Amino acid sequence: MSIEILGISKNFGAFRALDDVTLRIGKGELLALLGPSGSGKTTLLRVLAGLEVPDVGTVQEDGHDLTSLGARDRNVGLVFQHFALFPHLDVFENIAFALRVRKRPDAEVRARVDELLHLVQLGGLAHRRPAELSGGQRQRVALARALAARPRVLLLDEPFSALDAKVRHELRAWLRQLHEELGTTTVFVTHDQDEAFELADRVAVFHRGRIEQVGTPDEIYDEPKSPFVLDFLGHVQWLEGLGLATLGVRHRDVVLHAAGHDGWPARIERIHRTGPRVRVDLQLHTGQPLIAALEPSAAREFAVGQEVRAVATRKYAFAT
Amino acid sequence: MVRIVLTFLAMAWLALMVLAPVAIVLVEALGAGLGAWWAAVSDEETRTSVALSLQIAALVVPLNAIFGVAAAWALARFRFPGRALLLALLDLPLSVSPVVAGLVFVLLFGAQGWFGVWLQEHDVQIIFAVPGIVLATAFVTLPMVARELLPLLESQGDDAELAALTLGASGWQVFWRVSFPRMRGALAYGVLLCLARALGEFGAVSVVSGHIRGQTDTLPLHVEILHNEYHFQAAFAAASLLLLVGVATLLLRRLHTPETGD
Repeated sequence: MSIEILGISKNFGAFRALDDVTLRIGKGELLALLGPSGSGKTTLLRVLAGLEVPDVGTVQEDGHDLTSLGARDRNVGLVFQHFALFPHLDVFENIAFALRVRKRPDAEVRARVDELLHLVQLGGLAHRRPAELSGGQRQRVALARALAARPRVLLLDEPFSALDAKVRHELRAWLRQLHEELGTTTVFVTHDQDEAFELADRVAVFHRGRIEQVGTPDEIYDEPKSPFVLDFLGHVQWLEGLGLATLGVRHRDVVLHAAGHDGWPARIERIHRTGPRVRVDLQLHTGQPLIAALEPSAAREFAVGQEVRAVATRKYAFAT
Repeated sequence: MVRIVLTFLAMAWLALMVLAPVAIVLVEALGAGLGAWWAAVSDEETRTSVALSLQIAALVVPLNAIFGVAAAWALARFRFPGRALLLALLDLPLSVSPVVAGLVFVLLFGAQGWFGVWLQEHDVQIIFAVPGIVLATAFVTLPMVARELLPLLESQGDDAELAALTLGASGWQVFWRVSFPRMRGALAYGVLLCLARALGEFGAVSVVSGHIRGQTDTLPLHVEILHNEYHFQAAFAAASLLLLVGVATLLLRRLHTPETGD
């Protein structure tokens, strides 16, 4: 089921939430909409779900125009950021909801819900209320509920943001695996680039209602097409006055040498361990700060106060 | 020290303003024994006034419950032109004096009122009759259900309802399967408050009723009549029935535990 989003714009009062967005989502694809808050990614997700009607543009599915079709008739599965489970229904009835409103026979409902409970590994919890579940369990109930009516597209709004770090990582891997099993076209919104890169086949980077870049995680990481994309992926230092354009240098692309080597003269201000890498804060002789993220073994040769030469193995320059 | 003083002040004030009147009602009503209380309560005119009050509540409470659910739902879930006005109007019956509310209906439907002539020509009696009492009571109790539901609906948000929609539910299915079950507790309490107020309303009803004995005397009006005629024990016995309604309302509120979102 391929989906074409063609020239969609959406305003909320004076705020332009989506500005001429065009995007193609392939059948069976796992696509991430990545961007800071207010960049339009959630609005696009709601347009796909039929909860918002765009001011301009169309949403098409295999050539059929869906733009004016309401949320009820789209048959999309939407997982809300805070799950939006029905607190007055138990896990079983939450998952069964889409089948109940379609008046499916009891036996069919039971079989489908049992199958989904098994799929999301919540077999023993069918008769718990949402309030009695952990965050990760609620997330899985929300997912099972969204999948119950075999939606054509699965949409997830910040699916892991309400969970703590450990559960988040477990569920990411699990969701990726689930997607491979089911093959349902899936779109998820996130502001976390690690999440987008780890999970998605392709990533669309949003900025101020526009898509800055669409591509595989490799393409986006290696060939960022705008300063915003490079900056948003993080761990980057912007340097001016070293050439004609402003340069973006990733911390991990900075290599240090002893004085006398080619490179930018710099002094080491601070060295400290940050997780797997060692962060070295430098002051260039031009007065600008620079950060190098070194392998611990490489960092061992240097000390605070030392004069060094910094070389950027990779620099990004953007025409302005 | 401050805590003790504040607590003592609060308790003393409460005792003086609430406990003492309640105690007086009970002492006066039951002072002459249960037999005398029962005799007063089962008196023909008292029974008629109780029946009238119940009849009026039976008409008013369902109407205001339906209105309250509709208004709270619309105000909490939708942005529409006139929403701010509806919110302001909703509070009007609570802020305006009940006597003024009663007078408004007299001005509208009374013999000298705007529609008075037309109503007389068509032989419809509203003021000094049961329809007037129903209208006045409905006006005074109008916001009680809506005001109870509105904060709940706003705090719940509309995520669950939108989720139901994306799962294929129709508007009515969303309401009956998701919205209504989640508001049941607050609705029950709103209905209870509305009922207590409908049975107890005095000011507005007093203006439109005309005090026709055995016909337009509700229970609170009957209490006043008995008192004015120096039947103190009977007046307090009738008043104790209203007190009972109030206490029952509070007890039921204690039983009902509000839903705390998800």
